[in-house]
Amino acid sequence: VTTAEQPHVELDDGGEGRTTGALLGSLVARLQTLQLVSGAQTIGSLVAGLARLGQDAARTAEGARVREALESTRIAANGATLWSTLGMDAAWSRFPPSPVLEDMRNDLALLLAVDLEPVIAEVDVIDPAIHVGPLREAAPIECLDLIVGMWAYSSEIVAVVETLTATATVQEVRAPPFGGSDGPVLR
Amino acid sequence: VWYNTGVVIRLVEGPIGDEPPRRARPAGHRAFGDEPTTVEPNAGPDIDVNIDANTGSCIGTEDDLWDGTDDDLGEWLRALVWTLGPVAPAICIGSPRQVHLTGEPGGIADGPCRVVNRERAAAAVVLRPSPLRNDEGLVWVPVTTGPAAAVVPAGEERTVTVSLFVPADLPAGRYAGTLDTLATLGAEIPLEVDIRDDR
Repeated sequence: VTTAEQPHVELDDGGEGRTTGALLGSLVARLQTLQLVSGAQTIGSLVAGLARLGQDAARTAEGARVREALESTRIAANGATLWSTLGMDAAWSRFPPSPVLEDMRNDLALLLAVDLEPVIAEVDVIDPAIHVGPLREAAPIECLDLIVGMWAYSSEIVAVVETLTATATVQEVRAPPFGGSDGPVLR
Repeated sequence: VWYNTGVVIRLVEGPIGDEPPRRARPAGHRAFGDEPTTVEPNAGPDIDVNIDANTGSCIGTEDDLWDGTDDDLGEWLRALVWTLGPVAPAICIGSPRQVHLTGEPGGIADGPCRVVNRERAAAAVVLRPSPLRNDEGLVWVPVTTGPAAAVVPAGEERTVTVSLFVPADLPAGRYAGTLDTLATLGAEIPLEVDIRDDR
């Protein structure tokens, strides 16, 4: 079996989509957009984007397992209560979902780009700074602080969800939740 | 102005409904709501936006926009910007050959898969198995031993191992499904798992 014949996945956008310049443009546009939209709109789109990602992930085997396991916990009932009582079901569903995963991947690609400096040098970046009022005295925050913080945040969520859903890995045979099946389900 | 995204939106100040005159849809025109794949650079005003100025919802037709209310232009612009959002190029993924795993009941089914990045930017990929099915309709919802993930620099490749726990009572045979990648463009990646039972 030659290398070319081995199982592989190809990532190929024809060289037109994900260039360093395009990814930089996307980031700058997001920063500039923050000055034109409200906080509620920003957060609403992020929440809607995460929820859309959750719906997509639930179509995979592991996503389905996690969701199904959570449905049997108090999280599902209390979450539904909070969702409806505080009106979040009506609110979040009205916001256009932000492409959170694409944005994260693209920002990661920018951080890994070998041609970032020359591309930035050619770019006429028009004041991409986020303008905020004098909320408080500035406390320096670095990019690496954010990355480590996101890692800690997501690690905490993963640990909690995996702990809550650990019982879902028990082997069982039962009716299939996925359409078009004739037989039982093994997990 | 959406810097370097290839999209230009021209806005005419004045009451909505008076401007601009209707234009013929140019070649390559992309209406909002279409799949955001690639956008022709410098294609001029190429986006139809259907916005409810009060809610920001994308409703109705293009006529609802141009024949709409006299709501404050600034609010309308904010809704427009918010609803369109910046372009987020997505990873395009495909597989010329199916990924093949082998294993036995009570053990682990695994196999290598190269991830070849022909794009011009680094790509982070996580391969997630779908539910698998054999010829008799038995559905196996696999649990992975760990994430099959790779961060592949532009023009390079990495090998990941897709690895699944195999239930002890899983009948031997061939199970087929897909490897899914969230939020990517392109075709599904076919996955085939052969379970041998030599006991």
